[in-house]
Amino acid sequence: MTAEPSAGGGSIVAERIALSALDYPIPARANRLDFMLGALTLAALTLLALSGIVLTQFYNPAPLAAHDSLRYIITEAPLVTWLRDTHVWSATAALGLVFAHLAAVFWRRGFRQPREGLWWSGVLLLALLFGLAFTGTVLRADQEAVEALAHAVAGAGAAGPLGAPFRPDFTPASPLLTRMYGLHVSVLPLALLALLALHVWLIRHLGVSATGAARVAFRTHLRPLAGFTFLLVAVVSVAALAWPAGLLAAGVEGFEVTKPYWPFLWIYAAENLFGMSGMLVAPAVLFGFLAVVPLADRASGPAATVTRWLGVGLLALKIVAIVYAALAPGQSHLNMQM
Amino acid sequence: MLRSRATILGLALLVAGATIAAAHEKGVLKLARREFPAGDTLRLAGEKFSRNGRLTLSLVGTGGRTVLGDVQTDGGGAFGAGLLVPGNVTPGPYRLVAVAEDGDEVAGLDVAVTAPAAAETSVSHAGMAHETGAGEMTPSAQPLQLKRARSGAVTGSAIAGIVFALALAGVLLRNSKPAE
Repeated sequence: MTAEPSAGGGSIVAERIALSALDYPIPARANRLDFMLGALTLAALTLLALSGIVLTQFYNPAPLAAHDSLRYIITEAPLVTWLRDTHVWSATAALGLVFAHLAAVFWRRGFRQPREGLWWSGVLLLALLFGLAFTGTVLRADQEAVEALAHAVAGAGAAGPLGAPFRPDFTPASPLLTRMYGLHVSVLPLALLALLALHVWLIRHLGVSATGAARVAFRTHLRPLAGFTFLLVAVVSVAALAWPAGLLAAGVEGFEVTKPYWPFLWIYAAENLFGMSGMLVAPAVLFGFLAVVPLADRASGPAATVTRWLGVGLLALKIVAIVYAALAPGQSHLNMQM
Repeated sequence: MLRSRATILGLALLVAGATIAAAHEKGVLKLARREFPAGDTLRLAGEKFSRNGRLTLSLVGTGGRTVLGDVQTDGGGAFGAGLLVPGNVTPGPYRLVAVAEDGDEVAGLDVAVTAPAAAETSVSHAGMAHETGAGEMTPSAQPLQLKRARSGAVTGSAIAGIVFALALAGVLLRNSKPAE
């Protein structure tokens, strides 16, 4: 243990906000970038929340007004449109970082005893992030949104009673788009917060899965983490200025002429190849695999080796599917026209 | 006896008539705005129509009827759609009508079509038109060519913020101890 003296050296402020609580020991290796990917995802989520709060003041979730409100944001409100671009790029950053985090934790087997719960809470967080990305896409009410919603409705139909809230006829009192908005700004963020609290609690008490005997104070982790966070903010802001988020024309139902947001391209590829069943089975395979990883890879042995290379194979397959879907000509599904 | 048969027949006809009348419920059309330019996509929604039915939406004016397209109602009798108002529709007052499959008009609204809007929205429709046989609907994968709101103050502040964030990142990362 080579923990440094407490922050602020007993200053008035440090004492009163208990900064010394940040001096608990962590593995020295945890100060590497590959151990900060989860925290950087959290930073991207914070950017998303802050920009999203502003957007809620300008976005109208009524089906007839949603597209027009976005057009208003883009054409009339310079600050809000930049915040919307920041929101979209933060979402891309969060999803990219969370996949990198997942891959890093998987590779160093950070799911082994006693961290199974940490892994499973992370898998659920990943699913929630997908849900947030999906509902965010739908809110644009443009062609891509209408097609995404049609896929959600079809998937809900196949899911039986579980899919009921995603059906247009679930309630005549509120349109599906408005209900998606409710999911995007309240239900999913609240669930995300609750799971994040559990995830952070488990990290704090179980520790990260870094090897090595050397220990440093957690406080030393904060400086590089803050550095990378500011770097992330700068990169997202530059992207928002240089490549602002677009908007397609108001959606026309019954057609499929677009491709989904990139994190969903692998599902689109599966749908291209296997139809509706591909759209349902591909995510089930990924999340099913992620769920059983801590059970299959408990200790060194053939099962651990198989699990590791199966995971590597799935990741490679997913990347190939995303590239294929991005490059392949568009296809229509669910009997929609092109 | 004859009188009671006539009564039953009369009741039966009444019930049948009521059934026929209920085959199409009069629905409600909802528009974001009653006035829209030719060539623009008209966003509209409807409710209280017959469930799982097909409606044809048309503009009826002095020059005749222009079919905008067909929509399908859901299990609750509602629909939401974006239909293209053809660019060649003459500006003027129209009645937007919804017609059920048997030709019964089940809803209508007074609207006004204005002259086509300037380039920005119609550009994205061009080249992506799809003939559907029941009117034009133009789904497009191309982003709208919208004139973005720009402000020197916002862009300047964003750039200053980026420079500040990069500088802070540099200082913090430079002074960080390398991981062991």
